[in-house]
Amino acid sequence: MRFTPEVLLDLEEQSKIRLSDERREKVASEMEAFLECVDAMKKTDTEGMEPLYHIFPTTNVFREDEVTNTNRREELLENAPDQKDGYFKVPVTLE
Amino acid sequence: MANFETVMGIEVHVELSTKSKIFCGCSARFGDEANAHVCEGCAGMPGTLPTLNRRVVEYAVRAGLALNCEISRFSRFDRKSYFYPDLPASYQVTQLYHPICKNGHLDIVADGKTKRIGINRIHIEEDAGKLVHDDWDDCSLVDYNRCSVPLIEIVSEPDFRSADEVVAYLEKLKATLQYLGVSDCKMQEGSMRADINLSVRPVGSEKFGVRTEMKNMASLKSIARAIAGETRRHIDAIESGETLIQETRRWDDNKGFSFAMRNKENAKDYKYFPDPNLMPVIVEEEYIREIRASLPELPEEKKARYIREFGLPEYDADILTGSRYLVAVFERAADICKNPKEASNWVMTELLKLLNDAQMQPEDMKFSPDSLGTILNMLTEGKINRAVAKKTFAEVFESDVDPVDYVRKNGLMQVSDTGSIEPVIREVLDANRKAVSEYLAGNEKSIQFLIGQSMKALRGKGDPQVVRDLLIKGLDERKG
Repeated sequence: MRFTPEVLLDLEEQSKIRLSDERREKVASEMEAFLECVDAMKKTDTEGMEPLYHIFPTTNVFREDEVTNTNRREELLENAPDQKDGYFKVPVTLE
Repeated sequence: MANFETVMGIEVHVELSTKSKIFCGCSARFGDEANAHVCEGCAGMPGTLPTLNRRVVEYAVRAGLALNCEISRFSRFDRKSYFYPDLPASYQVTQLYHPICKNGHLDIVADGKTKRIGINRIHIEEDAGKLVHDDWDDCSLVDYNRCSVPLIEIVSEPDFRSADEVVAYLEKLKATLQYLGVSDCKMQEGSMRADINLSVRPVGSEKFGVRTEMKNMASLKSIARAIAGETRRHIDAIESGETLIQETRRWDDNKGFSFAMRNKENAKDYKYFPDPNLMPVIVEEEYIREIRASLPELPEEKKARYIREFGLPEYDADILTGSRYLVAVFERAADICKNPKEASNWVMTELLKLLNDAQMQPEDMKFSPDSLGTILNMLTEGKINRAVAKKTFAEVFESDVDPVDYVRKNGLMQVSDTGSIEPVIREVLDANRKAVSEYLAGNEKSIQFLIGQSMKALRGKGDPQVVRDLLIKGLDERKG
């Protein structure tokens, strides 16, 4: 069993989700099934193969360095959960 | 204490001077009202797609070539995940696995010796927003203007052994990047930021000690203090048998001590993976050749040429070429007045003094580049005297006045015709009989006082040589 309670708790913390105790067991076995797929893939011989980063063969997609957007601060702030004085307002966050 | 050696590597983040952000058409300008330059893309809203700013690649390649790097023909972008409100997408786009430049170096002079500092890599990434803490309302406020402003991160090898070496490297790096025009490198505004990785080991030891990373130094002086402070903390810990932890720390320049950072910087897992929304960048040889051909003369070459062609002292050439903004003033002035030595002297004495008095950096200068040359020409042609030239230059520096206008409007043209000066001299000699008799009794020094009085009566505009000659003539007449 690779998904010990400690590993799960760590993953929950990093994913910013909280699982109930009964779900936790189910999730652990589902995740284990995922990992088995990964294990199977790992057995494939990829010697000498270039990794594929994108499914499209496109490279060098650029835009020119021009300012095309205008100040839409009020509109953008409408999407904020909370705002103050033209800023996005969030709970106290210290570095 | 004397038996320890400090080993440091530096990560320098530099904001590129592009007009727009790295992946959207928002302005990248600094200093505007909060959130004036934000769109759905740089605010990290779902469903938006990034498109890479062409100039970002160009600037990164320029920097890489000037820092003697190999340019990667193939580079691409990764997502670095961390959860913090300055990063609305909850990931930063960066280049972990395939950076655009690798294996460069920069030669510095520190402690009287030339030293080659290795550059491990330069990669492209995006900046994060800015948090303001609101104590009144007990909340934090976020400004996303800086979010997605393009950066390059220049990562050195652990080649530094002293704070002097670090400062010399940062100064050279700053001058070079400013010459290239890829960044304004203003530490105070945060467009150049240095993180110091530091460890301490006994002299002669091959093994590195435990390393800590320090952030939050806003000037070269505070970097030097931070290095001294952190070195002391490491040595104290080693000597008292405490365990040092590898972590990121924040330098508090007021307290003179570093403090462990709690949140994003010590996150255990950044979960890097290739960004599926951004296509790889392929750089052709032809493109690299074009950029190499377009590189300007860099500080070292320029310094050698100033010494060779203009006969400037090495020290002066070094200071001048240390900033492209000083270079701009000097070269323009030298070009206009055709006297590089005189132009250099004025930059080295008057301009540096004005900058120092105003507590300004060369990049903050605002006056027209032609003004110093114009003033020097007026001085050589005898239209103004040296004192007026200095006064005019101070006025140019302060409020960018047109020097010719300024001199005319304030009636500061040098008075050198004997017809205008003679009556003034006569009055001065009549009014200062004591000084006159002292001079006539053999005290030649009192002529200085009489020159001062005459210049004052001429409101500072007299030609000092003519004034002196006429005074001596007048005094001689009173001998008999």
